[in-house]
Amino acid sequence: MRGLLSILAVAILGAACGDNTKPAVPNDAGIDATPFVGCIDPGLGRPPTDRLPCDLVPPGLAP
Amino acid sequence: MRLSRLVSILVLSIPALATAHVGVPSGIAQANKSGQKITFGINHGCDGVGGAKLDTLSIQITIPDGIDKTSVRAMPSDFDPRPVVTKSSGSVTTIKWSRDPADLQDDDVAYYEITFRAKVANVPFTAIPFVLEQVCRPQGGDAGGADDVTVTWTGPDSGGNPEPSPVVYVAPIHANGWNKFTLSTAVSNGDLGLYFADAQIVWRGTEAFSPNMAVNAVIGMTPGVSLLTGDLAAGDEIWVKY
Repeated sequence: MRGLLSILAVAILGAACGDNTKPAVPNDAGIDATPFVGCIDPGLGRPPTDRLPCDLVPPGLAP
Repeated sequence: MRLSRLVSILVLSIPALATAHVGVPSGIAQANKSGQKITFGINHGCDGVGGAKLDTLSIQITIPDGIDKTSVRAMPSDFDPRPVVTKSSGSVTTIKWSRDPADLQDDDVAYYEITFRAKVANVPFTAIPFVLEQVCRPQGGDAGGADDVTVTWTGPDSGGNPEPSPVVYVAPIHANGWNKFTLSTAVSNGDLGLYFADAQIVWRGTEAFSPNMAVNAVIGMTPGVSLLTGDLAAGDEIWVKY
């Protein structure tokens, strides 16, 4: 009986607190749901012509 | 969509290149910032009798709302080392730059600039039109002004208006690098190129816009990014890199 009450208590607490370690909406890789901006490091020389260089992506949005 | 956007930018750019109205070479002004120079470029003189091309004798500007009129200082120049400033209750209402008539050329071949310093009011994302009065005179023309031709630059640049007001566009005060703004007013998509002409890129969420056509072209190619095609609304949070 006491074991059953413990299991119930853990279940209720778990439901109340949620699980913040997992992304709310995992993508195909199951690791992150943050909008991903596929910029590339411009490096030296010519800027990229097929995607944005990361220095033109605002803080928090770049990968 | 991307192609149509590029075409629209090209189309919008053509009139600015093809016309020779009074320009604003000082560019975008910043809201609520003191000590800004505002310069007007006088791209041509006036048409005289019989198709004669006349040189410019004087330029007078009227200081409009949106400019802190108590902060205005006229800048002397080769055009006029002593511009005439008219005040009312401590506020500058007009400035007039006049040349020595002896310096007039016999053709309309010169470009002139006039400048004043001012604080722009806290009116980001507004367009401030100025009214300019340009007076031209033939070389050796009547000193009393009988031969003068006066052109008043006023009104919108639409409907075939041949002498529209030069317009100063006002952006929020900003620094080089990244700037985060929460908009206090809506901005139509068609005006982004006017208010962010000197920015590298503008972001709202994962949508972006750049006045630089090369950057604008790669926005749509970048995974996770789309071209900013809608209007900006009051309350929107945007990131702008200058």
